[in-house]
Amino acid sequence: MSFSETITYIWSVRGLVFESLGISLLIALGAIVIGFVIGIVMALIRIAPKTNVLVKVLDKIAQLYITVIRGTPTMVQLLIMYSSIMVSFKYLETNIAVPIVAFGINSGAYMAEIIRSGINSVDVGQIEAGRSVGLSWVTTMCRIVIPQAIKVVVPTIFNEIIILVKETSVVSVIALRMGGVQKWDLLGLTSKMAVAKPATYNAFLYTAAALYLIIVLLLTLVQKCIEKRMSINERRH
Amino acid sequence: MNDATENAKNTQEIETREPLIDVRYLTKKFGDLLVLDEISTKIYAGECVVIIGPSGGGKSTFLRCLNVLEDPTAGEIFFDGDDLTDLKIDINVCRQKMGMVFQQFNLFNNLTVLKNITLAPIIVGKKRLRAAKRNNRKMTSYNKWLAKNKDKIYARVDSKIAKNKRIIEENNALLAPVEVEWEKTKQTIERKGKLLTTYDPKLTKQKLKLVTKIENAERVVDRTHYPEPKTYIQPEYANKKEIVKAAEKNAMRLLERIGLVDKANVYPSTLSGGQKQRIAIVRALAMNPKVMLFDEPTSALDPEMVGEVLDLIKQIAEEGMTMVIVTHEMGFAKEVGSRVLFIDQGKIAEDNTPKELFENPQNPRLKEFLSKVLM
Repeated sequence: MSFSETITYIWSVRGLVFESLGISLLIALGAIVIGFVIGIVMALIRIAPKTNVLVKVLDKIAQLYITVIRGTPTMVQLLIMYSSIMVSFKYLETNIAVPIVAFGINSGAYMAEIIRSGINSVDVGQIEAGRSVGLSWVTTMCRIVIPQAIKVVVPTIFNEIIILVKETSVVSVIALRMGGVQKWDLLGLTSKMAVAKPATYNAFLYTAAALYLIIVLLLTLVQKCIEKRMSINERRH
Repeated sequence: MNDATENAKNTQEIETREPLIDVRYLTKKFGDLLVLDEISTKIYAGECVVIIGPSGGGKSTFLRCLNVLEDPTAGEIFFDGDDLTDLKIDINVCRQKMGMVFQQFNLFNNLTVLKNITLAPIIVGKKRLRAAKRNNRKMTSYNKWLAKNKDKIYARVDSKIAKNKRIIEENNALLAPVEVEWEKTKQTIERKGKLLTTYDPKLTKQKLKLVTKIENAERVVDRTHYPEPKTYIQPEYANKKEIVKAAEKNAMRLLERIGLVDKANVYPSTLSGGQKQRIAIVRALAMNPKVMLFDEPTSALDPEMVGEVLDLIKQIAEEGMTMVIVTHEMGFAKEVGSRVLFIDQGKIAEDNTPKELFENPQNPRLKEFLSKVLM
């Protein structure tokens, strides 16, 4: 197969390619949202003053969660989720929730540690000031500390997001269905094409790589914009 | 003679008045380090108490204990009738009545100056509005329910109080012989030139257990009341918009007072130290506190900016605000303070009017301290 023929072939199935890209991004986006929420909650639990038993127990659970999730490979987690925990989802007509939840839980553990480090970097005087005007601990955290912490950890969070977007390629090991029809993510499509038209395999790999690269470049752009917006309360150097 | 009687009258008046802050045997330990050693003092409304002393003597810790930013190890702090060391009270509501100004300003870096000042009043205002609405909504049905089940509920309260009183009696009876035994095991030993008193640890434990039981039961008795019917609460503001508007208006008024209206919408990082500290003071004032606590308000400032901050504090003092100030500015202490406490090695070593304390110090440590500071 000549080069131009390959290009024409890929172009002819562009609908499939973009659809698979969309699925990859959908999984990543869902996982980021879930991971961010879990991350903030876990970070708050880890950081909360251990004044009562409930907080202590929750803290132990959070520690266990972070240890287990960070200590096992993503693919193993995804497969466990697919064939053991959310097994009833496996046979649903739309089972995209499985990878979203799996990646969300995975990313939550990393986000928790990232956000915790951000909260720790905020001056303790900010918490004291918030408490001294009569705000509760949670309000102080949500209104004063977390906004400042997020600003510090934006680069690290985007690091995690970028890793997550690329890691969604692991989803090609499970059979995805949406509305009863089998769907592929970007890498899964490559494998599918390897079977359908082996000569285009390498070309599809390059296409997938290029598309991932473009997504990451866009994410970097978004990161820059967010950083710029968040630095309005800083003195210009 | 006339003066003397007048003075006596005044002191008597002060004695009979209810103190705003009543500190009883306040002790704070950081690990094994004893920072505050059974401090007791009373602060009355309208007083301006200045705390001086060598660094590491515990004056900042004392101030921070007053609004429980540091948890006291032992002792009680009564503020406005509430025991702040009691974990059951809502400390946030109490703190709303105490403004605090920090050495490092601690303005909220992520908020503009205006939002810094209005944040707490708005949140607290909304909370009060919600509480009032909830109360008014549930009032009728609750009162009906209460009237219907009055006998049952009152009987339950009675039995609870009776039960706890019985616990107190029983434990008191148990405690008496233990205490006698415990006294008998008293031993005085000398270590490193200090006299230490020791008791039998087993008995001490037993005694502490009983005392805690009694104290807990007493607390329950104190806190158990007959439920009262709910009354209509008139909300201060009709809706959230009005709360925001009122808070902003108040903030602008305060900013105008310190001459920083044009800084309302800038972020704290662009301000000078003196401006930051004045805004921090105004932020505390915006909550209409009953007492203001200042923790070395001028220590982190450039010398040229100390004046403007001290002037503001002086103005507030003249308006009759109750204040507790930890400071190293002796001239300021002399001028503003109505009472000066000298805290050294965790104890109030001297407590007197500024004139007496500075001109006629009694405590040798105070003499030494003043000779160093006033040089």
